[in-house]
Amino acid sequence: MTYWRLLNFELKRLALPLGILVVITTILQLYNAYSTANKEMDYAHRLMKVEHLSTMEQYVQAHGYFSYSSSFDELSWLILSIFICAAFIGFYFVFIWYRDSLGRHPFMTRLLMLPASRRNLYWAKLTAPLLVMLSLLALQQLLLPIGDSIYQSIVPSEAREDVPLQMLILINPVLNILLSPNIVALLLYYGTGITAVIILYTGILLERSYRWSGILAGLIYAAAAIFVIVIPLIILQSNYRYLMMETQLTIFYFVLLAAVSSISVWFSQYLLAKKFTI
Amino acid sequence: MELLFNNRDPVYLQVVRHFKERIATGKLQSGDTIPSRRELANQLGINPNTAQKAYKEMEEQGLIVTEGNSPSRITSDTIILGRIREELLTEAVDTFLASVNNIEVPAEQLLSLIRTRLEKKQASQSEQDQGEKGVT
Amino acid sequence: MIELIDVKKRFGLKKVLQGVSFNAPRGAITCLTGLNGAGKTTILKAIMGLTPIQSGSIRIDGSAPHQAMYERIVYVSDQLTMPGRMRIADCFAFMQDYYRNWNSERANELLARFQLNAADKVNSLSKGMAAKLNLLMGLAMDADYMLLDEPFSGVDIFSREEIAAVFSSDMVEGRGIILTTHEIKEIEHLLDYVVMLDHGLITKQFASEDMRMEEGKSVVDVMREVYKR
Repeated sequence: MTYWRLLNFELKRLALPLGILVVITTILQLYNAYSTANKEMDYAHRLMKVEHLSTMEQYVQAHGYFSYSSSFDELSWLILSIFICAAFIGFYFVFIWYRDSLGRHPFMTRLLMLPASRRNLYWAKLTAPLLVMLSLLALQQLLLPIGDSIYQSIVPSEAREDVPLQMLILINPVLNILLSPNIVALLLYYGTGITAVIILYTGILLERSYRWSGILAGLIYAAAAIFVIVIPLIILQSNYRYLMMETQLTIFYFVLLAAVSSISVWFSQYLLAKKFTI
Repeated sequence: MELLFNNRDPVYLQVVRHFKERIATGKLQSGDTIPSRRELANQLGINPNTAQKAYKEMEEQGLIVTEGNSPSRITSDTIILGRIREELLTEAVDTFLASVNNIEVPAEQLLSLIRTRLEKKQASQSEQDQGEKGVT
Repeated sequence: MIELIDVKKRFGLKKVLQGVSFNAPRGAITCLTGLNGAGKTTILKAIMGLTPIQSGSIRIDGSAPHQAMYERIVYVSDQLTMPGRMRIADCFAFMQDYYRNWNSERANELLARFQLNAADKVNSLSKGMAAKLNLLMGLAMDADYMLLDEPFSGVDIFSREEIAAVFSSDMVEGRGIILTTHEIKEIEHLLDYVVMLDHGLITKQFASEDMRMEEGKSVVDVMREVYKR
């Protein structure tokens, strides 16, 4: 119960930034579709004038089709929107532990005194930004067909080659990770990301518990954790790579992620319960 | 009820003394109900524990009586009430004597000095009373 | 009863508490006093689990403090511990959500008594109003113990009187109260027990009425003796 209340509380505080990010993402993505389509049409019309082509069909025959996907394989407004969201969430993963400790009104004192296990607080602070991240990814997914239809409304059908939405994702290096259609790859990316956040939280809690020496301990801890996780990658680079099959390595990687996450969560909760210092 | 505490005597004894003074001067009469210890604590700005302790002391000295759940009252025992005045006076005189002790003044001189000071004070007080009556 | 037994605490190399032992019984007001840096606030925070101790033990009614216990022990910090953008009404709703022993009726009664406005935002409150809101939020919980950190600091004389009046009311009756302050003068007749600290050590502890009875000294007199050395 306390967890849900705290989660609700954290989400409410995130509502405004989330709203702003939704607006930014939507504007940038739709502008991306709109401007790409217009640029292409301008370009086509200019060439048609120069080359005295009278119809789109003639243009397409001479120069090939246009596609919405062309705006996905390069650095674009789309990448910028993803970058802004990622930067904010990355920042917030740290800020969420400090916003209540800094300033004139140390709300963290109140949160730590709530008469329920502090584990609830930990989970709420972990899941709230993750949920915001998932909502932004869902928005990203949702904007793909909308952008596509804007594009289609500007570029006539005879001049464009329609590609399936899945294709758009595959073409873009960032979307290919964030919205990967391959379920194993998706789990791999998200598992790695969430583990990274969990390790980061342990580092922050070490700092909050021991201040300067905590930062040092946090860095050492993070280095050790990262080393453990990359063991499969080291194997992959080494002469021993033939000892394991790729699926085995993947499973090994997942096991390591789970182990490191579990230890980190346990350690973080111990720090929050016993060592956290206001 | 106003009471200024000095911080060097136990607060509960100061409260007891305050009640004694009010009884001696007739502001509290035999059989009058007194505030509950909560109310007293609130009125005097003292800790309820201290009020409790003061009431216990007064009960032990027989100044107040409490029957069942009804509020405490000033005792109707006239002997105890009579003694209060005497006790307060004796106490005050003792304090006074202790403070003049160092001056080593002869008894006769002290008594005559007290008499003249007292007469002068009473005279000025009645004058003041007259003046006040004149105004109204 | 809140018991501290040989509690030691370091911040890095700085020894903040160097073996502190005292008892604060229920139904009495215990005052921790000492100059700045004596360790008063640290003791309260240690009881509330807001800062870990290195050794010694803290017991509340015989058992070690745990999280669920913080419903029975209330800590009133000298700073407001609610987000600045919350209105007072939001703070009340928050407390109601998390504390089963939140007494709305008393909260509203105190709101009127302290002349605070439920629509005011936390960061718009003056120092005096903030101190009153803090105290209010502590008092509105039906708790057995209350720990108050400098309830009078930065508070003007009128608010000070209003706050002092609370300590002689039925709102604190039966509760065990520990308060820290270095301004004893105006409240000294309210205190049952006094614990004097200096650089993390207890220099003197006594029952204030006994001190007056046996040595004819006020708490302020003793403070002068202890700290002016």
